[in-house]
Amino acid sequence: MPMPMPIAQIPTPAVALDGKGLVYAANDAMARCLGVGAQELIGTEFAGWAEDPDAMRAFLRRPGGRQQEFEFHAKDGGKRALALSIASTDTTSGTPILGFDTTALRECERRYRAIFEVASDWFWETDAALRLSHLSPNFETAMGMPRRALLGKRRDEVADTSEDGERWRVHLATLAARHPFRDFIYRQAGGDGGLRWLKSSGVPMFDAEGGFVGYQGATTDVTAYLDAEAAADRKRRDLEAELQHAQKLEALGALAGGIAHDLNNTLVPVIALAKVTVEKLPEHSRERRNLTTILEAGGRARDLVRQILAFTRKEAPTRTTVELSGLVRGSLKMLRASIPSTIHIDEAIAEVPPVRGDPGQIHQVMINLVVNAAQAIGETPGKIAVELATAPSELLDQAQHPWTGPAVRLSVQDTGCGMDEATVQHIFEPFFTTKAAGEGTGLGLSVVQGIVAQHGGRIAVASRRGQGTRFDVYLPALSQEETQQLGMNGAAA
Amino acid sequence: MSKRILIIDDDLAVRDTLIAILEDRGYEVITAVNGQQGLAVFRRELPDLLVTDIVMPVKEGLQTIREIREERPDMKIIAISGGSRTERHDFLEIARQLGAWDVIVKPFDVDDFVARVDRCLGA
Repeated sequence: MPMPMPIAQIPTPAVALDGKGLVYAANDAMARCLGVGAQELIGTEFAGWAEDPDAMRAFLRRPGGRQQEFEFHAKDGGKRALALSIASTDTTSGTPILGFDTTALRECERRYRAIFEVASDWFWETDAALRLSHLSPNFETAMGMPRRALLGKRRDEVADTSEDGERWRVHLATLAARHPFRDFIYRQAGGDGGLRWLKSSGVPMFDAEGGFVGYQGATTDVTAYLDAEAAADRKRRDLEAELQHAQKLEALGALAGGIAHDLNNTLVPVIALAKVTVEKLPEHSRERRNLTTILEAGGRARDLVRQILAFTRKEAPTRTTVELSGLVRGSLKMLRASIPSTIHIDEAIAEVPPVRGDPGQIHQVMINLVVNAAQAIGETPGKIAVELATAPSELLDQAQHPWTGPAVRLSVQDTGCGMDEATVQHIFEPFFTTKAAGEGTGLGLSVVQGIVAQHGGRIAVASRRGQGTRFDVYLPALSQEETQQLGMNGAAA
Repeated sequence: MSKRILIIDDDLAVRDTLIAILEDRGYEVITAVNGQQGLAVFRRELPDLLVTDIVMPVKEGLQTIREIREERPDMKIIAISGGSRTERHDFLEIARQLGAWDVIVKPFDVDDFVARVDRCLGA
C-alpha cells in the first residue's frame, strides 16, 4: 500500500495504520520511541504495543479528530508515554497518527508528585482575591483537616491574627503590593483545634498581559521546631538562673565564713554580759526590760549567723520526730509578743502526723514566714492566718524527693501589701529583699526554702499586689507505723 | 584560795566578758592576748584552768594547747571558738583530740559556760 504522505519526514513519532489497525508505515522517531527498527513495526497491530490495547482500539474506532495519551511497552522493557493525535475523521483509509513523546513530561510529573507527597510542606495557590484555590493533599495530613475547610477563604480569615496584628498588617501590605514574601510565620488552628505555628512563602502570579491572577507558594508546620527552640531557650535561661544562684550562694558562703568568726566574738559580750547583768537588776525595772531587749536581739543575731552558716553548708539537719501542732502553737505564742496588736492572728491547727526533722529549723520557718507576713501588713490593721493540716503527698516535690507516705501543709496567709509576679519570681534568691536598707537581709525566705528542701518538702507561694500573700509549706510526714517504730526506738519528740 | 583561770583570747571584749562572768563566780582570772603570751603567763602564774580561743594571731590555740599539754599533761583546758561551723567542728574536734577537757562554741550560753567551768574545776 502506498504511503499517503511522507511519514518518514515527520520529526515527531508517527505511524499509519490500515483498516484493521495494523501498521503499514512508521517513521524512525516512532521506532526509536518503542525501541525497535521501523521495519519491525510493519504488519503488527499498533494497539498491541499499548499498555491498554482495548483503550487504544476504542480510541482508533472513535470518529472525528481526537487526542489521547497512551503508555506503550518499549522493547527494552521500559515504558513510553505518547500523546496520540488523529486529524482525520476516518482512520480506515490510512490516515497517519501523530505522536508526541510525553515520557519525559510524565517522569517529571512523577518526580514532582513524589516530592510533593514526601515533603512536609504543602503547596497552595490563591485567586486574584487571595482566596485559596488549591491546596496539595499533604495539607490534610499535616494539619489534620480537610482541604475544603480552607478552600475559598483568605489566609487572614483562617489564621489567628489576634496577637500578631503588626506583622499581619505588614504581610497584607506586601500582598496588596503583589510582592513575593518569604518565611512569614503565623498561627492557625489545626484539625484538633490546637494552634500551630506555620511558615509560608509565596510569589505572585501574572497572566500573559501582566494581570495579577493570584499567589502560589508553600507552607510548612514549624510548631515542633519553635517549641523545641522555646524549650531550649527556657533551659538556657534556667541554667543561667541556676548559675547565678550558685554564684550568690558561693558569695554568701565566703561572706558567712569571713564574718561568722568576728560576729560570734562580737556577740559574746552582748549576750553574756546582758545575761549576767540582767539577773542583778530588780525585777520589773526599766533597766531590766532594756537589757532583756538587748539579750533577745543578741540571741536573734546569733541565730542569724547560725542560719547563714546552716544555709551555706547545705548540711543535713538533725533528725528527730517533730509534733508540728505543738511546735506551731508554741511558735505562735512566742511570735504574738513581737507582732503589732493591730494584726490579728487566726489559728487553725489540726493534729497532723509527725514529721522527721529539725524542730529548731521548722521553728525558724514559722518565725520567718510569720514575721514576713506581719511586715507585709505593716502598721495597718490586718490578719495573719496560720493553718496546719494534712495534705496529699502529690503536693510534695515528687521529682526531687519522692514520697509515698502522708504529708502535711503549713500555711501562712496575710492580708498585707502582696507582690507582683516579677517580685515573686525572686523572693527565694539570697539577698533579694523588698524591704528598706537595714530592715531585711534578704535571707529569710532563702533560709526557709533551704530548710524546707532539706526536709524533703516544697514551698509554694501565691501573691497579688494589694491582696496579700500566702505561703504553703508541704512536708513529708510519718505514717502511723513509722511513728510507732521510731517511738519504740526512743526518738526525741 | 580561789582557783585561777587563764583566759587566752585576742578579742578584748571577749576577755572582759569572761573576766566579768568568772570573777562574778569567785574565780581569779588572768589573761593573755595570744598563744605566745599565754604560754609565758601559764609558766609564770600556774593557773588551774586554761580557757583558750582557737583562731588567734602570733600563736593560734591548737599549737598552744599542744605545747601546754607537753609541759603539763594534767592541765585542764577548755577550747572556745567562734569560727564558722565547719571550721569550728574541725578545730574544736582537733582541740579535743589534743587533750582539751571541753570545747565551747561562741557565742555561748552563760549558765552553760559557768556550769562547764565549775565541772572542770570540780566546784
